[in-house]
Amino acid sequence: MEHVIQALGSVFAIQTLLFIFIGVAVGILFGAVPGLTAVMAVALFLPVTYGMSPGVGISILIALYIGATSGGLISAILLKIPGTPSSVATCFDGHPMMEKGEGPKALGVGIVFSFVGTILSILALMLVAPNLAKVAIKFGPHEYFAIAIFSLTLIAALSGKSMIKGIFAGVLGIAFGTVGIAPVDAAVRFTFGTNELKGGFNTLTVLVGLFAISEVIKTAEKIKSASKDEVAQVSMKSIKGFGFSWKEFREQLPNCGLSSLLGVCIGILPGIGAATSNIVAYTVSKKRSKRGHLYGTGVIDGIVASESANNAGIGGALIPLMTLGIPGDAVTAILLGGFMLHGIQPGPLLFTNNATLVYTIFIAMIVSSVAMLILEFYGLRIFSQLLNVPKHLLLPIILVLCVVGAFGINSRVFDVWTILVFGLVGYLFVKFKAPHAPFIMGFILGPMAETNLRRGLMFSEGKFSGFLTNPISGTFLVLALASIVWSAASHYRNSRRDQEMLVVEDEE
Amino acid sequence: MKFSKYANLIFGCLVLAFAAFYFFQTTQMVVGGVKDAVVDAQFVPYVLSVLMFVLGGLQVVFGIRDSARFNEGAYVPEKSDYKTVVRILLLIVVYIALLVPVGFLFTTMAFLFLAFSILSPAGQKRKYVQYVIIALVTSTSLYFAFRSGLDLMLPQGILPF
Repeated sequence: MEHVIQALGSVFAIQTLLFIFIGVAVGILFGAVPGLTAVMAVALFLPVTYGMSPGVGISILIALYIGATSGGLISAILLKIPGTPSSVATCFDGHPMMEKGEGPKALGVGIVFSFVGTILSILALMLVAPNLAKVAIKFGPHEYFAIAIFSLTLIAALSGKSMIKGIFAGVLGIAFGTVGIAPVDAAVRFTFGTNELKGGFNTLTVLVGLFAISEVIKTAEKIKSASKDEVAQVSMKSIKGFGFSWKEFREQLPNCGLSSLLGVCIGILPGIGAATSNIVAYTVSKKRSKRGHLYGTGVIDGIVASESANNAGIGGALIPLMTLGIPGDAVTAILLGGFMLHGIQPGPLLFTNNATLVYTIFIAMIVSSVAMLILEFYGLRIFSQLLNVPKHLLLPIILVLCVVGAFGINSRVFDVWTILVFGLVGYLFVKFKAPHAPFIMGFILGPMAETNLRRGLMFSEGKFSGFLTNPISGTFLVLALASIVWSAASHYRNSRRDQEMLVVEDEE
Repeated sequence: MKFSKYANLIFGCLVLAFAAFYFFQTTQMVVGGVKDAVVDAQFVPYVLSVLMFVLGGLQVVFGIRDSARFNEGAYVPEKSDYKTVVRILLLIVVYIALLVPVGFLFTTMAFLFLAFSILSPAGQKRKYVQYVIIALVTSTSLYFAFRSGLDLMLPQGILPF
């Protein structure tokens, strides 16, 4: 209880509240403007938090994360293009509703169910995380190795169309993770005689490069011929409440509950998050609903499914991050970097050693959700006008902010060069249609797997059998194998089907 | 050459090239510790090298198959403006190189102004006055906000403060 009171005091300080509101507002903007993402928002604001206390700093980052995940709905409905991949399915019904003149209602539904989804996922996080931490505290190197391997196979299996490219992205991430001093015996690897590389690449520089710099380079390719997006204007003034009735709200609750559950579960899985869960929830909800045939014609059900699922991913993704130190997606990977910068190691010990911080995070999440609801509803006019900020002015400023952030990590230009290198790697990935997510997960989980493999071997006197005889690690390794077999089989089936379709087309 | 036709093949070759480089570097590594241990600092890099060789090989095979099957008729060439990409990349390289010797304030000002000009859409008139004002305000406010407010000492370069 003492921790809860301390946490309340820390979040409800005027300064923190103000920062949370600013964080949510900036987050919404990053979510709403196509091309800007939640990863960028959190990465760019990290340097601002360097000088703050961990509680305040991490509250801002959480506020940015929540705002950016929800903000995508504004452009999904007003611009008819999703602001972030998290809102792709919101367009399916948001766009037709807008055309029918029900734009304000679509926005109201999106905003409210974003809020409900976030709150449900925070409840799930508060319920699951402390209990999982109690179990995880007993985990040793065997368990951590197996969980890391299982997560890696899952990411490679679930990523994109080409399994080979997905696995390669993961392997390349692990390879970059081997740069620097090796675990256990401290051998120096791949440093090419430089001192700067001894510490390895910083996670933040890798993420900023892959997700922000590569986006700047990618946009430069098309910017000369870009046309201005048409922003539809709606007025929220004339509508009552949130634009939909209490009856409609109650009718949507089962849909929202199921979609939020899906969002939480998908959020927990490493490597995939809101970008997948909104589409899965939309599809599942459509299949289950009696009004399934109406989906896509402009019914609120579709928006409810997509928006509650994507925001529910937030709480889900934070479960493995906080209890095991394993990020659920790219944003939580940045958050992991943020935790480390503030000297906090996420993991089961966080719940015993740093309980106040844990509660601060929970409370900051709830406050951020409320801030999101208020800001999106009353500030919509401002956000919709900011959608028109010219890209050629925005992107160079973002690049400068990336440079500031990278420089701020260790006050050295080496990290700034690193973001450029990873920006180019990210750009090559885009050009060759290889997924980014497995790379970043490999980069983070690879060293974790290697360290625990070597520690585990020391525990079991050099015998690999120790990893299989331990029940938890054995189970995860079997699951890892199963996920490889399952995904290889489904990829084989899909490619066979594609071939058959090609043959049929040729015959026609 | 149509990039899309050979994209998968090129990707496979790049993977093999990187695998060869990584493998060679692994063999050159100086490893201390227990000599007879199966798992030392080279173990994971060797496993990764093998995986990359296998994946690269598979990708080359699939790449050859894909380029043979490539449907020329349905191909719509992507409109990509690589000239702008190269110019902005060069600008970023010069920016980073001058960051410490000249200092954050002036390099950022110059970088922003030039980047705005390079990236401005073809059909629109370049508003140089606006670019100068934004470059000036952004770089000055970032420099002083981080140095005095947020304890982040950005490179001061030729500036005396």
